[in-house]
Amino acid sequence: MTDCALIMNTIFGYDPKDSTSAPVDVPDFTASLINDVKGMRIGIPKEYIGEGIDPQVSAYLRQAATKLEELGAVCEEVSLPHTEYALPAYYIIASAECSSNLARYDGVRYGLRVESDDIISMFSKTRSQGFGDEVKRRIMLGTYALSSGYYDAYYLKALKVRTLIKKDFDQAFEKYDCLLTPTAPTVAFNFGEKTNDPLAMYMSDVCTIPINLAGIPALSIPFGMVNHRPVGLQLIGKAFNEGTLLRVGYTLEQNTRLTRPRPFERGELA
Amino acid sequence: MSAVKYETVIGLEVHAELKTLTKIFCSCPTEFGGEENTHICPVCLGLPGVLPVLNKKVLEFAVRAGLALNCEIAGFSKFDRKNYFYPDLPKAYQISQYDLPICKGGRLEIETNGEKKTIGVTRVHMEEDAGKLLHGGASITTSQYSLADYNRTGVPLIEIVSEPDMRSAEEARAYIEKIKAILEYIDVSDVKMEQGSLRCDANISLRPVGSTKLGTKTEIKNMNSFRSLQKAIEYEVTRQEDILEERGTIVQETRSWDEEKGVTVSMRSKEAAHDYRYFPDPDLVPIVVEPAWVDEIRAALPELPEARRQRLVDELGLSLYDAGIITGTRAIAEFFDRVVSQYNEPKIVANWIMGELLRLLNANNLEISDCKVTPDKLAALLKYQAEGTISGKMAKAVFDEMFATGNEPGAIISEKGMVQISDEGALLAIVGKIIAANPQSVADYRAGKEKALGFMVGQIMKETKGQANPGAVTKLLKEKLDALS
Ligand SMILES: [Zn+2]
Repeated sequence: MTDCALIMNTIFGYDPKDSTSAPVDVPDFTASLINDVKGMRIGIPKEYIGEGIDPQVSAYLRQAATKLEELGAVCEEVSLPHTEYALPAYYIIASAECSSNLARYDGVRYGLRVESDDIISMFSKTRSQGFGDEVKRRIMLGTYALSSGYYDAYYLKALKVRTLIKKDFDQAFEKYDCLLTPTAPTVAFNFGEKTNDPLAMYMSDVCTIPINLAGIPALSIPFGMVNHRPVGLQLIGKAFNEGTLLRVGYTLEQNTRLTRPRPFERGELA
Repeated sequence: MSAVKYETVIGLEVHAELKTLTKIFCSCPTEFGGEENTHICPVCLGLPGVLPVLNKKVLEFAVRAGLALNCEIAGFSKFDRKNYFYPDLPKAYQISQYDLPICKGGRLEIETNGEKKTIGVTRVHMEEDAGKLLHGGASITTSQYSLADYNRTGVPLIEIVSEPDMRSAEEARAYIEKIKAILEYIDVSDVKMEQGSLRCDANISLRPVGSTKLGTKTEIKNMNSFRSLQKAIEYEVTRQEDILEERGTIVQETRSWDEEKGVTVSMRSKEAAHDYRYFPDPDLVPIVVEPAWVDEIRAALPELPEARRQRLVDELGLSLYDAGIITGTRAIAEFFDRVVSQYNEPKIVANWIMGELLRLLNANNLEISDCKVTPDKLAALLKYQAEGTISGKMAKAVFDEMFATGNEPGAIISEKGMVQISDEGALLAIVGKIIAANPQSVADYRAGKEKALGFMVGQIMKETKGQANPGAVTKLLKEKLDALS
């Protein structure tokens, strides 16, 4: 957690060349490394621990909640009712942006160019060979979602869903200092195991995507091992409230004997 | 003659380049005419990983334009991406405004043949300009290669969309001239159609007189002057009329004006129209405009053409028509004011500007800013004339010389020896000489033939190489001749 705070001290801050960057002061995050959660209120969204979540993962989550209560925090179940729509909304919004962002890669000014007889087939070959399957899938999905006649049904609806998801979080943060969820619904799977099943790949992002849609901070903590595979827990906080997440994360780190996985050192993924 | 009479319905889309110092989303200069691809950076080239940041001046200029066009300024608006592929567009999308423009619901007043009419302004929005292609051949499809110059990429534009309120080519022309004058007055654009800083597309349809339903429209592009706008619309109206009279149907399409042939030609049909896939640009945040800032901009608006025109009528006694011409552009109006401040005869000054100055500017295809005759020099010339140093005819000759060389009127007058002879003694001698030399004319005059007087005045002017004061000559000659009887 100290490493995390030090890196945040270095990389955080306003970027005048990024309009979406917020002009807020950067605190010293190491000051948030406090081993104390007494009186803090922590919500556990029920949508993140039910169906589709590996019981081994939820077991670790319960273990963490018990520990936090022992240390004086209050853990309660909370509901974020629009969670199930986050994944479809995300894949529409992200694919739409992606289809537009990647249109500039035509092989003319930079990057890969696959030569051909005429310019149209040069464009087409460059893009066919240069992009991977998932990228092409997103370009097609995104182009479709933005097309005339479909925009309202897909893109616009996804934006509305995003607003509802953000509202869910806003309401939860009226009552809780932060939320505790798994980082992923399953224990880490083998490299390449699900690449041929795009839907399964999308599903593995189900716990982290709502955070991106809502534009709020979250902290992933390695919190245990199942068959030498890491399990991650996630703390979610209010916008610009990273300090609270570091504090809860630091307290968990100091009060548990769980070691960090070191798969590369042990050659597990080799 | 056809049984059905048609009404023309025209709406205009005007693009004006804003004269901010830097581009809309980066710090590159907007200056016109630099060497190709020297006013560029990673942002306007759309290189991977760069992000746009809005130039606040662009927002200010757009708000200023909106206020001058009587629009409502949106407290909340946003930028959208207009996606289309073209080699002059490096990101393959243009950042524009779609459903939440910065200004909407405006209007402006035009005048044709002395009749006033209000034209609705649907909206004004901000967007970035594209680059420029230099084709190896005649067009992109027939060229071996095309070169791309991205200097203009990212230059800020406003698009001003009118309601379909115009009913003739003259009204359309009056509208665009008014837009040009307003944008020039509020100093947000160079508004030069020939240089492309003002561009205009026209939507044209016809409908039977009395009908309230709009007919099928065509969009006309590529008109590079006020004159070609008017001619293109006139052509297109006739073309549509001919089709309707033959009981044909108008195809909804985009057509291009061919200046040389004087015709519009089909570019693409509605079916082939782009699906721009507009969506909010995620790289930019919504634009929130504080009412206090809008009030500040409103308070700082300069006097607009309409108000200035009325002021010239009310305070300086110009006719409404003359005041309209003088205030037609801010540059002419300011020129006028500066001359009048030194020579307080507004009507005379107005006549000189409308007659001599504008005639020579038009004949030489010059703007008033390029003119060598400064307000100081024109005022000096008019004073020489008022004092009687030179005649009106001489003054015009001196003016032509000033226009060509930029020399001071005093210098030209003495150099050419163009000093008017008003001295009575000197004139009397010449009058006597001419009377003695033309006994027949004297007899004619005494017989009541007034023409003979004019002939003798002419002889005197000839004798003095035009330098005699014609008024004084006529008076003296008459006195002498009458005394003979
Ligand atoms: Zn630039």
